[in-house]
Amino acid sequence: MSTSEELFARAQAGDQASIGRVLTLVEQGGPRRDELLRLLSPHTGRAHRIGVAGPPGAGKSTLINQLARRFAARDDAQVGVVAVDPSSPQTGGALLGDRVRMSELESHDRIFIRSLSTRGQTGGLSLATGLVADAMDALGFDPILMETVGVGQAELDVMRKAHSVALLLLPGTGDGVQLMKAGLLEVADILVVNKADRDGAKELGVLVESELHSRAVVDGGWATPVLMTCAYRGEGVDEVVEVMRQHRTWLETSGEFEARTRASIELQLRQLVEHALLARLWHDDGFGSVLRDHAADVAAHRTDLAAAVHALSDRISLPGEGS
Amino acid sequence: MVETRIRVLVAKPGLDGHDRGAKVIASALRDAGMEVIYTGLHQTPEDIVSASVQEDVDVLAVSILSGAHMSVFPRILELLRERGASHVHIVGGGIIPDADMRQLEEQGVSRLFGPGSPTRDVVAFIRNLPLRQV
Ligand SMILES: Nc1nc2c(ncn2[C@@H]2O[C@H](COP(=O)(O)OP(=O)(O)OP(=O)(O)O)[C@@H](O)[C@H]2O)c(=O)[nH]1
Ligand SMILES: [Mg+2]
Repeated sequence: MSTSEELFARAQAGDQASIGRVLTLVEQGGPRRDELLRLLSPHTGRAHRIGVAGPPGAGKSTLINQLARRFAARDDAQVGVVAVDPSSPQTGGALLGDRVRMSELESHDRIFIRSLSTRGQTGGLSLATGLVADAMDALGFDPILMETVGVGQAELDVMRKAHSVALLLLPGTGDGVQLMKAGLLEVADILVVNKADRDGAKELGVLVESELHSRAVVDGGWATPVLMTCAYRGEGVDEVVEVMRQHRTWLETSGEFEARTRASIELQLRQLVEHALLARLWHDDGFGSVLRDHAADVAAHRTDLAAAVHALSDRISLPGEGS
Repeated sequence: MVETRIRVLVAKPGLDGHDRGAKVIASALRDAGMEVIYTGLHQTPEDIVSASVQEDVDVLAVSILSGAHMSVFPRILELLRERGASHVHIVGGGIIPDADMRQLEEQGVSRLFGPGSPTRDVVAFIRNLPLRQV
């Protein structure tokens, strides 16, 4: 077993197995994570993180397959891809299949793909994605493309770790309307109607355009563009790349790049603190057994839920609270 | 708080056209609580090893029907060594004669399963593999 310093040095030198190991250790937690975060930290903050979100089967992986090659072709960039999927809450297991649509990237030595699952932690998806993206950033990958399936709160939190969010929509599924209701258009910087070869694509594009149009764009603000792609044929992808580059320039000149980086770190920190506190809370069974006693009391009507919660939370002392 | 979970890459090299077997194994491993990375059909040994290294998996499960096992497995072993990933355990399944199985296991394949092996045997075998310490 090598020290964290040795491992980090080999990863910086581009050794793929060491990069893979660093990502695992950072994701897993524990003392090795702490050591690596200290080593990685001075090198972070450069990469452009691009979130690619959208409903299941929208073509996110297919599009990323196309995007990554184009980014890598220019400037000899090293491109990172993080593909996240939820794990089963019952077993904790996960089937991560995004690589199937990215197989053309396997032989590419400047594209590094990592699949992640939640591992059952609250906020786990977002935290793990952020940590892995941080590590990729520190190891020189730029841009970093982050795929997340679904459009719920957990996925929105993943997108809060990105500087730019591309939202994919799928024609003929009523998606457009639903996503607007879910407030997803608000987080999107770029809208992509994929499967433009299908019926209803144009109509969906028009619908989304008009929805966006009704929203005022302040001066110097970013007007969210709507693009049409046929990802598996690579059509319209150059335009997506171009818009992503423009968005980066806009972020950098408007000060938003730094603002979004800070917001992402803040969320990251919040999630790490929550994990640390919960770990301390459940560390030994002390608190658990007191909780069980209170539960028994509630069941026997000796106390009620509200009183039990107060009694339990009073046992936890946080700084800044009188005891 | 260290959260470890067995990570397995399921691969299907060769030209034969269906991956039902690979998908059955992938689902069984997932249901057993593992993180399974599925890479699809027609992978070359180079692709498989590259993906295994990037995903930092503990186990590589290879399903092979095409009869190319005597070239595919040795090539995978060689590439894993070259890329500093010889800790990855290889398990395989397919139509492989006993003599070939013994030879491949001597070369470093952890275990080969013949057709019709119960998936729970594969799951149990992978569960009991000695994993690398963090
Ligand atoms: N007709 C059509 N099919 C497409 C297009 N792009 C992708 N597909 C197909 O859509 C299916 C899903 O593509 P993926 O890239 O796996 O979609 P995804 O959004 O990553 O899916 P999940 O990760 O499972 O949510 C595949 O069969 C693709 O070949 C397109 O532009 N047109
Ligand atoms: Mg996908």
